[in-house]
Amino acid sequence: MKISLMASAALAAFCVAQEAGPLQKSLQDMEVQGPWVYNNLATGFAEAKKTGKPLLVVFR
Amino acid sequence: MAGLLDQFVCVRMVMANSMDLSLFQFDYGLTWAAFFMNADKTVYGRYGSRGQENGSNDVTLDGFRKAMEGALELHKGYPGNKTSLTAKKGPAPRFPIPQGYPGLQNFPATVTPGDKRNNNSCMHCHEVTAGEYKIYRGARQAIPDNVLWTWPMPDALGLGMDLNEKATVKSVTAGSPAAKDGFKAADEILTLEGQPIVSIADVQWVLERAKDNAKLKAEVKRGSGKATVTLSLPPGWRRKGDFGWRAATWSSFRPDMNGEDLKPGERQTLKLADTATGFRINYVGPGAPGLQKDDVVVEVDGLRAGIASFSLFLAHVAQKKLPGEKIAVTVLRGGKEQKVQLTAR
Repeated sequence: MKISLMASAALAAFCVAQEAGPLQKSLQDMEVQGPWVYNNLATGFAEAKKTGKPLLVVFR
Repeated sequence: MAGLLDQFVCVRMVMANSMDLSLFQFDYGLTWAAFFMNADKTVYGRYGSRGQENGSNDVTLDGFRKAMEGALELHKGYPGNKTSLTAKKGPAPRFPIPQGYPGLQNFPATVTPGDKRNNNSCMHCHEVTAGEYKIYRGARQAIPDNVLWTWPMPDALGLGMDLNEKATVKSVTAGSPAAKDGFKAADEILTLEGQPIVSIADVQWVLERAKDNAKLKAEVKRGSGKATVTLSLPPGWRRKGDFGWRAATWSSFRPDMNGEDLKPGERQTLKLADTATGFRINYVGPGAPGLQKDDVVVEVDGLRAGIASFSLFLAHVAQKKLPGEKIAVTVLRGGKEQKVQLTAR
């Protein structure tokens, strides 16, 4: 399965109802839902430190 | 996939504005790139490769899954494996953030709220590469091979990689540097120069940082055992690769046209030797009058040999021609040769 489907497949796996932030709304970039941290590395690193999980940072 | 993703803190970055270039060093020509990291900013690995026009053809969901699994293994072994991960970060970049580059200074720190995606305030990653080109062009210097052929694919050395695995060799081109060094199909590259490898991008990272004439030590899984193979990088090895797909070239030195390499059968039909100058034009913009689609370029500035690919033509422009200088080409059109003049930017 090529990358063109990858983002949709992977991200759709996380369809949890959460409000999109102002940047995401302003960019009309609504394919991302759920527990993905949207464009905020500081939040991501803080969450990784708190949970002990590694980070997956995707540039798209 | 959901179970794997749940083991990470997932962050999606949608712009290159203010990107930390000391931390995030990757192929800025990609349309999709991933980093696996520790909370202390140690890099476990990268995922995302591209060596051709269609950005989707060099990545797969299976390969990405395997890379994630590999990253999770490295996370389990951290910090005991910290030393092996040190070289996954590069030296300090030319500028700490992209806005340091010429032409990018006016980008805001972040995308202007209220604007649509891909608006003028949203910086694309490939603009970092274009910024590098502009530094050299502005200084009237040749753009070096390692900047043009940045992030080389392993097939430039004869290693055809299995896209559905982490870093497994699918094929080895006969007579290539990888063949001469003893790589075999099905070898799984476990480490390269001591760095644990979770993806093809990780192999590219080591190649990207390597000097010409370097000898890179690879530990591979071969059959039920392991082997050590030394990958030698001969002079000019990068030039086997293709960078003509890079969007960054369009806003820099490239004349207003696009080309593609001739297929072996085409060369035979046109009676062009493998090393003879030759590539086909597949797009002509307003800035390249005189050229036509399907022209076959057979001579560039008097050279009938040595410019055997479209990438080598672009390199000729980037290294031999200053902005505004003319490029004399001879094309085959309808069986006849015609002279055309292009302009370097």
